[in-house]
Amino acid sequence: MDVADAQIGQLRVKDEVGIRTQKLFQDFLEEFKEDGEIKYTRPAANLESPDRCTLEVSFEDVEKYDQNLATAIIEEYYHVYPFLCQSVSNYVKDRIGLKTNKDCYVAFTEVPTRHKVRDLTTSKIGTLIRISGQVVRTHPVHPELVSGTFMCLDCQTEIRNVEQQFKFTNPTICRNPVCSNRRRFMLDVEKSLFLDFQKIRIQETQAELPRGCIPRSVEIILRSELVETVQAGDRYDFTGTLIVVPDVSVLATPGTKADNGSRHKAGEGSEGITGLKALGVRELNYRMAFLACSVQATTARFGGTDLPMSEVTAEDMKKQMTDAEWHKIYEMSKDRNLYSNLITSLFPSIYGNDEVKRGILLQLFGGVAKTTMEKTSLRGDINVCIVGDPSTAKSQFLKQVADFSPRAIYTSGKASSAAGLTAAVVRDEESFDFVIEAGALMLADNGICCIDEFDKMDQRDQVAIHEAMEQQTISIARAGVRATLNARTSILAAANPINGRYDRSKSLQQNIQLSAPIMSRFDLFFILVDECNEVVDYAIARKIVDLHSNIEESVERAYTREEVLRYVTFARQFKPVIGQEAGKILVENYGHLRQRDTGTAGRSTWRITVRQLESMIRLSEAMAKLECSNRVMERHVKEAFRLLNKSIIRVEQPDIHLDDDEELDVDDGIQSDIDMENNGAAANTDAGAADQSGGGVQKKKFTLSFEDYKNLSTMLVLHMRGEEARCEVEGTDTGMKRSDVVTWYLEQVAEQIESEDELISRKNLIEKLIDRLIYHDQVIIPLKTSDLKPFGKSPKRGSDEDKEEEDPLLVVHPNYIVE
Amino acid sequence: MPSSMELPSTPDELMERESTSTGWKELLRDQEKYKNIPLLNYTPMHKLKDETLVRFRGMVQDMIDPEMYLESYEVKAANGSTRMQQGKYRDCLRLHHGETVDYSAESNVHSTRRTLFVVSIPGLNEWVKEHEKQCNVEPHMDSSLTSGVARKRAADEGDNIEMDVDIPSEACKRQCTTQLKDVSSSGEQTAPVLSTEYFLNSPLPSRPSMACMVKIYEDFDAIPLNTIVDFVGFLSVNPALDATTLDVNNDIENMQELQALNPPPSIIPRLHAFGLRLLSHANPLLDLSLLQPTDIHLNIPPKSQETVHKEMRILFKLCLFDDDLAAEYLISHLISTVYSRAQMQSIGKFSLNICNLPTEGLQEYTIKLYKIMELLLPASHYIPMTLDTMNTSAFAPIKDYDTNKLVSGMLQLAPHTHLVLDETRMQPGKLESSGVLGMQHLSHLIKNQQLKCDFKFFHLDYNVDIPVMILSEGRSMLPCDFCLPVNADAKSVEMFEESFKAALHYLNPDRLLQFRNYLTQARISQFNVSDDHTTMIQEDFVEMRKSNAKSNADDLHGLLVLSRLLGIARGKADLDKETWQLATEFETKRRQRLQALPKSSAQTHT
Repeated sequence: MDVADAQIGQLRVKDEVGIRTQKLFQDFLEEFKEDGEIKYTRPAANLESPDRCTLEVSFEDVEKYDQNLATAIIEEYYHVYPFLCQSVSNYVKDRIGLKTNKDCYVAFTEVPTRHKVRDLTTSKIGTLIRISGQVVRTHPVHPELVSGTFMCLDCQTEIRNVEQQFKFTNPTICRNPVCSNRRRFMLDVEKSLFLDFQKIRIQETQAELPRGCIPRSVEIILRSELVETVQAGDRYDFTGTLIVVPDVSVLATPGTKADNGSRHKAGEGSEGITGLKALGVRELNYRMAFLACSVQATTARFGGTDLPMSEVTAEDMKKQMTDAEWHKIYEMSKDRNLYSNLITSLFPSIYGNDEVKRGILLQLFGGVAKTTMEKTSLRGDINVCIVGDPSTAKSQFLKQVADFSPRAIYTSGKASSAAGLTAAVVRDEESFDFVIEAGALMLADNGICCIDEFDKMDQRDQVAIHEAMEQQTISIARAGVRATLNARTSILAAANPINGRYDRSKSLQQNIQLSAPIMSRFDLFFILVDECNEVVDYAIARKIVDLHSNIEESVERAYTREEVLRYVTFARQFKPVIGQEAGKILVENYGHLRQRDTGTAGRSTWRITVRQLESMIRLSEAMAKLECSNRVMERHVKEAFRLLNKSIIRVEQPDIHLDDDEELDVDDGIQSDIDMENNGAAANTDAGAADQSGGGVQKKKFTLSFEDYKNLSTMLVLHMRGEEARCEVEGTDTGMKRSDVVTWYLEQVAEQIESEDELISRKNLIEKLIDRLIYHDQVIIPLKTSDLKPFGKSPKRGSDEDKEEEDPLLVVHPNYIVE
Repeated sequence: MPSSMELPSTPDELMERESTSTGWKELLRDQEKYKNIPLLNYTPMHKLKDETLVRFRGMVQDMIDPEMYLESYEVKAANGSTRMQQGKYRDCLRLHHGETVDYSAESNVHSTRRTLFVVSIPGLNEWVKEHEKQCNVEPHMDSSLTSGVARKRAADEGDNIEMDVDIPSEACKRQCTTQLKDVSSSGEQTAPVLSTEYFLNSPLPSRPSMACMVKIYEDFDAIPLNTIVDFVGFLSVNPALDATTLDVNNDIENMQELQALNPPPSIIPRLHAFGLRLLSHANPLLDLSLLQPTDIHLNIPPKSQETVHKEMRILFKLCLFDDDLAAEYLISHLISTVYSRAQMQSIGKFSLNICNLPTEGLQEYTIKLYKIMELLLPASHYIPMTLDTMNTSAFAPIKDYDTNKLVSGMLQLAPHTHLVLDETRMQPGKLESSGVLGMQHLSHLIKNQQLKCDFKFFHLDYNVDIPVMILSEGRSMLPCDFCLPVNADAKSVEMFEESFKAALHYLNPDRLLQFRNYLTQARISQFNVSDDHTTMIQEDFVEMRKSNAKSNADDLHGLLVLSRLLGIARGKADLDKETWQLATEFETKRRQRLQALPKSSAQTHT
């Protein structure tokens, strides 16, 4: 009765197009060769088994074989479908010599054009298309009557092969010429043909949704072998055609409809203005449904990382793009300032913080996931953590990434859903079965999981995230359910420092409440310190005022978001290999990092380990991807090293001004509780360190870099502790006098001192240092035997005589811990 | 633009216009004609015939999948002759006696249209309804038409179409979903399985809205969810559209969905829209498309914005224990709107937490305060944050895949519907998981002005513009842009009942009208910041940072929003120094008050 029926109806007439297509398609099946073999022989042979009846045909093959045939199938799919199935049946029959007549069906895969749910319009009816969407509802499977055999209740004549199309259809009239029965028939179930039939509903994905709209959905009909192949919540590609099914009223048989009508309109005599009788029939409404012939899980197209099992190459991507899109990408890949242009295009509203932006950009590209010979998989995802003071645009970064990237999820570490970040086992309310509920990490599988307030994460999640970040899986063993689930996500985390503000005098580890193992799983750490800087403040104020006055982007973007997104998705598909020179530099740079780690008492936040080497590799790969290069070049490694370097030692400690008291008071950074890290401590007594630091001192201003200051003081303290211990054992002296300490130091550096000037400056330096340790840091306590003359708050002591006068005994503060 | 042409009165007439001229849409801009179209919201159903021209004003609550229809089809008469019939703007086939439709005719044209589920603006206050009712033009009753289908139907079903449907609903509970689940399994085919509440799908179950399914024929994606629109089109109330009475013997599993999408037209009428107007506000007093009653507007001397603002401050001072600062903040809150959304930020929101309310007579106080606001605002809603409300009510909409409907929640409100949360009602106790979720939805709404809809497999954020005010004893547990402790001296606390009486007295009809107009006008007015002042703001910010390292970008956001609103409240179109300083001064005062709060936690500086 609808369009579909109309076409079925035409079947009975000789259909030339159909017959020609049938022949051509049969020829194709018989002739199409791949690698010298006729491709569809074997699949056809498989159809011998009774539970199989569908032959899968790649549409690309058809296109290769005969473009005209392919076009005919695309455009007239619904029309020629029965003929195609017939040719498959014939083909199968010929091949395997089936004795009985078996109906076989054809299923096309790899149909080139893919449509969104929103694009399904009436013009697409009947053509072969592919759509993708998320399954939101599945109905139970039930048998569908395909062709019925009826018994006339008046004359007992059997009427065979009554076509049934989406609804129960009685024969129009009894076959027996003398019997004029049009109503009373009985279905003979035994002799009728049934097929499995399942209705499901898919919904358009979030990424395709226009802002402010409700996702659209479409019903999909799955038949025979396809039933029960999909699960609610998953995304699939469906190939098939859009058909029209009558809605509601036609479902009722004509008889009942009449009854209905009369019930509603009992006593209704008058007619409308036009004199037409409103029958109360609403057959004007139809529903579109999609009759699927094949189902495939959706491959990551735009957005997600490539799944290991479904390799999408750049070529495939190119095919999916329009010429203009492809052209733009090509243009972008040739852009010399691509790196910085991408950054400004991505985060136009965030001022400064370029390093963080670079890090996040590289995270979007990601490294290359690898599997070693021992089947250990190495992750390619780059994890980034941003630590910083409140209101330093941390959350802005996260939100923008979540907003921008289609498979990104923004969540808070405090998220209190049952599933939390990882996954939870919950009991299904209806079936009482345990089911696994996905958490944010799983939902962002193959995407980016943006976790705000990472440090406030639930203990349980912290443990799970360990696994997720390195092994990229989540294991659950709770309530009798054991499962390992994939969680291949990059993590972009933001954390607040422990006391709300970042304390520069402390190490990163002391500033955030994260365990070292978790920290080491981040490739990049960025620290945003809220500094009072006029220039920055001006710029921030400007941005905010502009935002409020609704002035469109003061920074012009080089590219639109969509362009960047498309480019990122495209470039992600590259799998750059590390070239020889690049490899060399990698080794070299790692050596540098490692050496500096052991060689100095740098405030590096953790030991440089192989993890950092891996990070460097991933970052270099991401850099190469950014340039759409198949090879990791030297410059890629250099940038990666630079970033990593920034990230490891990124807390720039303020320089110590030894002779500027005011400065010291303002700068409350350095406090008494300076702890050293274990790794640094051992190396601190190393004269080499002092040697380097000596060079760094600016003679006039007595300014020391924080690192050098740290080294020196530790060296002194350790020496004094040692002396104290020795004295105690020997029971002789109680300690060192100030002058002893100075002398000792000068002896230590004696070999580097070449001139008298230098000696004096060194002496001054150490004096100042001791002062600072005494009065400011209160690490060293001067013991005075006689007069307890109180010291003013860090009095100016510039002259030498002043110190000669007082040469007190110095002891290290007993509570001071050097590790 | 007066025109001699009249608006089409039947679908056929419209179809004819469409085919002959292109300029006919101009007619819709003609205010005079537009005004005279009856409002479906306020016209009893029995007075409207099927296919009459009507208007419906409401908020887009849900969007249903497009449906196919026959735009034109061939009709075969019994004698074999054929003719073409148009199907646009109609639900039912039009056939003479003995005629049948030739479904397979070559000349049939199929098209798609989309249905929007529109509910009358939720939380609309009494005075607005009253006023709109007065504006409504009742259709001429033609005695020959009264025997029409619609009337008969409506009479059968009782008059449950009108706005003030008194559906018994326990507080704000929404139990329809559970209800329908039980019934569906019983196997009874003809029994209606869905409740009327479920059909109506009112965001605020305690204040049910009227619903209408509007079918649109163009620009399917042009209207975002939750916008308020005035649709013009043809009514369709043919009882055949009702799926609940349908005998469906072979598709039981789809029953719920069918019924949900084809509710009885007596409960939810259909409207085939051919024109629409997006409404920027819900205030009927300022709506030119309404036929204003003649008795108002004339006798009121015009007053400047500034004067009205002063009077309003007097009013709110009376209501807020004589606290001038609180009155200023409250006015700012009432005229606030999200005027820009850039990079995940909603600029212009002004959520207000009035805390430090005196404990005596608190219950009455909050309600009295809300009553005053209710008189001034076109749409508002009061939520007592009791444990019970939190645990049992639905806050955000949830997609019900069984019926393919977006089941509404309390927070699905039209733009500028003020939400007043009364935290003073909270008692210690157990917040269940649904309550926690509710809190999350609320704080998400306050922070981002976005509504998180639950689509089971994922969540979607929809932009909303719902100013939220929280009344609490201590600081609110929800994050707010501005937290203001009220300064209430013992005397004014004692006197508060008298103050409210005075306030109500102060609100004479003229003032009421002025205030209502003032609030809406202020909300939609523009405000500029000149370059000179930008520099001044920048310098101030740098100074601010110098003097207090803790001040941050959020503070600047706050100051900018506040200064804008203070400026607008005083009838200014540009920022001036005076206003900026006033804002700074107010913020300083507010901060001082906050610090004076007993357990003010130092960490969270709002």
